[in-house]
Amino acid sequence: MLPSKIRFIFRVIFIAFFAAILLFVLYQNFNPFGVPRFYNYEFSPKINHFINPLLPKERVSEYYRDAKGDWYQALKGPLVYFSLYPVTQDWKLDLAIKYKSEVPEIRFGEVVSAGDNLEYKPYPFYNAFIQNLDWPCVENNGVFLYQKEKHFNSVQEYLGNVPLDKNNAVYFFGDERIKNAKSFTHFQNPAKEIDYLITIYKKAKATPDGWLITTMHLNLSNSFILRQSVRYLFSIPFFENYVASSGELAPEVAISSIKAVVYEPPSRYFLKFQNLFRNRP
Amino acid sequence: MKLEARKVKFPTIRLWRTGGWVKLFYVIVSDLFVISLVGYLIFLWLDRAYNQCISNYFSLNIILVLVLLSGIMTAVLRGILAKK
Repeated sequence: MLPSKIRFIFRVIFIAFFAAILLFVLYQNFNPFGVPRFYNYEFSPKINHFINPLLPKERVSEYYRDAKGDWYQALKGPLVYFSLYPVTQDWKLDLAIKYKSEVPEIRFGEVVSAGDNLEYKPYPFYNAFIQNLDWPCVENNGVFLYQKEKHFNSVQEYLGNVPLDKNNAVYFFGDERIKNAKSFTHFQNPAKEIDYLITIYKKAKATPDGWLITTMHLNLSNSFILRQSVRYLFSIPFFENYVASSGELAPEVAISSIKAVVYEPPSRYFLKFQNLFRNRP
Repeated sequence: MKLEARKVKFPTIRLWRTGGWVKLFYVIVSDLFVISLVGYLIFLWLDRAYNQCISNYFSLNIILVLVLLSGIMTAVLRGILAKK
C-alpha cells in the first residue's frame, strides 16, 4: 500500500472519530426516538450532569460514606434545594430518593418562584407516624385510606358515607364531604384518637440495609422552569425552630441517592415517520 | 513491466528499508494533531455557545489529552527527523 494511501485512510479514521462523537452528542441532545434516560446521583464527590448538588452548602454536611460503602449527605436545615438541568416543559420524570430520617416529617416541594420570595408546592415525602402505621389500608387512584378498624373496602365508599361521629383525619388531602376533617397534625396522640386517616402520602419502601426509598412521578408541563432548570426542595419543619442543646446530637436526615428516569417525547419528525407505517392498511 | 509492477506492489518493504516509517508515522501523528485540535476548538465553541451540550454527555478533556499527546509526539518526531 502506498504511504499516501495509508495517510488518507488514517485521516478518514480520525475525521470519522470526531464525526461519531458529534453524532453521539447530537443524538443525546435531541433524543429523537424518545428513549428514557437514566441518571443516578449518589452523593459522592463525583459530579452528575443532570442532578445538581444540594444547596445551600451551610445546610448540608460533607459527603460521608457509611460502613457498607453507601455515600450520603446529611441535611441540617429546614429547606434544602436541588435542581435538575437541563429540562424542558414536555418532559416527565420518575424520581426515586433513597434516604434515612430521624425527624417526624419531611416534605418535598417544587419551587414555583424565583428571587427572594420563595414559593413552593409541597408534597408529602416522609411521615414517621404513617410510615409505621400498621392499620388496614385501601388505595384508589393514589389516595390512601387508613382505618383503625376496617369498615370500608374503597376510598369512594368512605367518601360517599363519611362516618361523622368518628375522628376523621386528613394529611395532604381535602374533600368537602369530610365535614369534621381535622389535619392529622392537630391530634396529640394520633394513634389513639384518629379512627380514619385519608392521605395521598405513599409509604416509602424500606430496603434491607435500613434505607427508605420514596418514588415520585413528576410532570414538568406545569413546572416553573427557569433557564432550563427546575428546582425542588426538602422541607423539614422540625429544623425550623430547633436548637440543639449542649451534648445533644441533632436528629439526622441523610440522603444517599437520587435516581431520575426522564421520559422525553420523541421528535415530531420521528412520529411523522412512524405514522407513515401506522396508517398503512 | 513485471519489475515495475513489483515495485508498486511492495512499497512497504522499501519504506521499511529506507526508514520511511518514521516519516509516515510523523505525517499520521501530525494529521491527528491538526484534526483533533480543530475538532477540540469546534467542540469547545459548541459547548460554550449551546449550554454545555457536549460536556453534558462527553468529556472534552479526552480530546484535550489527544491534542496534547499528538502535539508532543509531533514535536518529538520532528526532532528525530531533523537529526537524521
